[in-house]
Amino acid sequence: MENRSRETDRYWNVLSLAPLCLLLFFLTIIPLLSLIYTSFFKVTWSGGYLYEGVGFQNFFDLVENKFYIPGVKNTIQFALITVIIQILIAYVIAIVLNKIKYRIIYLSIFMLPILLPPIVIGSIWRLMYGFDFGLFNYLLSYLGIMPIDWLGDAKIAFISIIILDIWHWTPFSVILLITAIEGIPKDILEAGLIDGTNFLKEAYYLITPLIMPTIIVASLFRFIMSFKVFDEIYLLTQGGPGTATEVVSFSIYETYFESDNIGLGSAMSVTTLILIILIMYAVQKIYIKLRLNAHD
Amino acid sequence: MKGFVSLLAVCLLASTATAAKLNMLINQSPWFDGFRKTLVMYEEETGETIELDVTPYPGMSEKIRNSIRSPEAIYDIVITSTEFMATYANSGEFVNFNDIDPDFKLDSGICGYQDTSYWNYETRSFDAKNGEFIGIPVNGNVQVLYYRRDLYEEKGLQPPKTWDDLIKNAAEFHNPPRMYGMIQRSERGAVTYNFGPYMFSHGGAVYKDPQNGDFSIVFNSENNRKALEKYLEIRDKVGHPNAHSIGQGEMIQYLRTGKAAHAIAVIAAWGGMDDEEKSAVIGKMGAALIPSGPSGSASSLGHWEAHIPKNVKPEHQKAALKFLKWLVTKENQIKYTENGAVPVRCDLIYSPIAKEDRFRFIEALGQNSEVAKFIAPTVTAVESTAITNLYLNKIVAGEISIVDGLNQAAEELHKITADNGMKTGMLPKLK
Repeated sequence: MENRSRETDRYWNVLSLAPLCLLLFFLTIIPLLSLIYTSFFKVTWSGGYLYEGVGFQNFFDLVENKFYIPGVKNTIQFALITVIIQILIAYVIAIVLNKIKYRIIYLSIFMLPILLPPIVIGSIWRLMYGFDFGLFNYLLSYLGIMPIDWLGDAKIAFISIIILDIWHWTPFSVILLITAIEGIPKDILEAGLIDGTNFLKEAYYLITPLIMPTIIVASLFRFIMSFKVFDEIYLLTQGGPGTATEVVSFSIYETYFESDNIGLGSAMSVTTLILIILIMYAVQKIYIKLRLNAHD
Repeated sequence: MKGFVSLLAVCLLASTATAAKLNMLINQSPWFDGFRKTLVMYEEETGETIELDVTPYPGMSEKIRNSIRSPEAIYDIVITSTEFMATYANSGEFVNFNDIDPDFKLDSGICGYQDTSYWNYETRSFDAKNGEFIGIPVNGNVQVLYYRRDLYEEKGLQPPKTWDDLIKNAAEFHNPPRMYGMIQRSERGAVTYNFGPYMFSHGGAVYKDPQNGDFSIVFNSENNRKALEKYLEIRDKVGHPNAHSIGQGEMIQYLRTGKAAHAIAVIAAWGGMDDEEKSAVIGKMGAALIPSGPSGSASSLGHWEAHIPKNVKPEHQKAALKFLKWLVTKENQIKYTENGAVPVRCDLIYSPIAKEDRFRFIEALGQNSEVAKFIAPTVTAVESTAITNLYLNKIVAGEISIVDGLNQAAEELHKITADNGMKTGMLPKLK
């Protein structure tokens, strides 16, 4: 009887998961396999698509590509810097907001950057970063500081994009962290208060360990999202000056869609995907190791 | 009952006789409103309808590609910019207009634009002599010299004939940050286009002889070095120190706010100069032929050509060609100009509207159209322009020397042409 019930359960499990698996198969696995397949071809159009097998040539070509490799370096730097800063700021804001009574009002205000369409964000920040017409340089002039070329100086342009991204996406991490803090059982925090913890001790010894899984998930999620950065670059710098703000998404867009170089664009996409998987795998290993050490 | 059947038959006949409703892909631009107004005139005149898909520039190429490669066209008319004109011309997906109307040819009043209406599939180049007739220009966007005619009148100056004249005149007004003598548009996405007039006027080029199918790379020539030296000299003496981060939007902003005495910009930007809601320099801007270098004066082509894809139904092809023919007649090009679009006829210089102050740009447009050249008339234009943009931007930003930048760019360009099986070669390295 028990075996029969288990078999029925298994049947229903398979049946209920089947639509999702089919969706995943048709909308993710097949396109991904197609992308991998295409990356080994030179694809041209002559009344129909012509596929000429080139082996690994597209992968060799992307190593020499003047945009992709600088793009990979910049993207990794960009993702690491923005995620670390965003999570730190979000952590502080979430801890402070947790103590504020009408935090919903503040949260609504913090949410605004996420709600704005990318084109609006591009316009706002282009106006703020402008050399002669920009708000930042206008304010700096009152302090007697020389205008800064926010988007034209190779070193500053990269930082300008990072500042924009932090402004844009920190609220997202704040929401995740504040939700995690609100999920901490009240009796734990109250027990801490009885034991005489102050605000800083409570944050460090009680809240931080309890929301650590959320911090890790938020970091991973933001890291993946940062790897996909495109609109900000496209609207503000187009990857310049030089390749100072080039990122992989922009390189792939230019290659695949603008140059219609489908084979090379696919090879770039596959390489980027492998890179992200490797980084995620490494981060997961480190996380598991850290947790094991904590348990020991 | 008999009456009802007759009525039904009349209705059916009427519906079949109704003109084909066409679809056209067009880009969102400052000249679009002029195009739309002229189209309304055409629709009122002929009773025909053309639906427009108005698309921002970055989406144009993808939409053209999807339409011409599908079994049945989405658009009956598509327009291509110089950036991807050759790529799509070479796709073989555009109708030869003479297959629809064997007697049709562009009349001599329409600007030639270096033969971009004709494509030679053998040499993979624009060629009026041996090419197929696949394009009709619909927007004559070329670069012209914008200058402050009010300030020129105050100082009793004449528009500059040479680059040195430009430096001299611009120095009269150069007082940054209040006013810049000259604004150059050198951001990574646009610097090649802005550099074009300097390059051609110094006898430079990217390719040796593209019109005859020779795509040997001459980008690292002595002429281009001199052109770049002049470009940087202008920037250093009378230009904006951060030219390498200035794009078209900023350039127009400098002109309209009265912070630029000169700029080489597309004529499509003219529309806003006399617009009370957008400009602080109403009636103050003048347009002139771009200054000349040792090889004369030159501009860069940035015009648009209209094409009819082969996968369009034959009756739609005829209707589409009828509209395009109508659009480029002299009479309708005058209406087109009055509506605010950029005309494609060089003979408008001699029309009465060219004498009107509000159309004072027409003479400069005609002159610059005559000397405008195509920077990258090749199927690899997008890829090769990305390379020239990258290295020119690095040079202007001071990240790399002129010699190294030109040599490295030339190597990359050579690789692109060789990989695409084009007739190519390279100059010795510049020292």
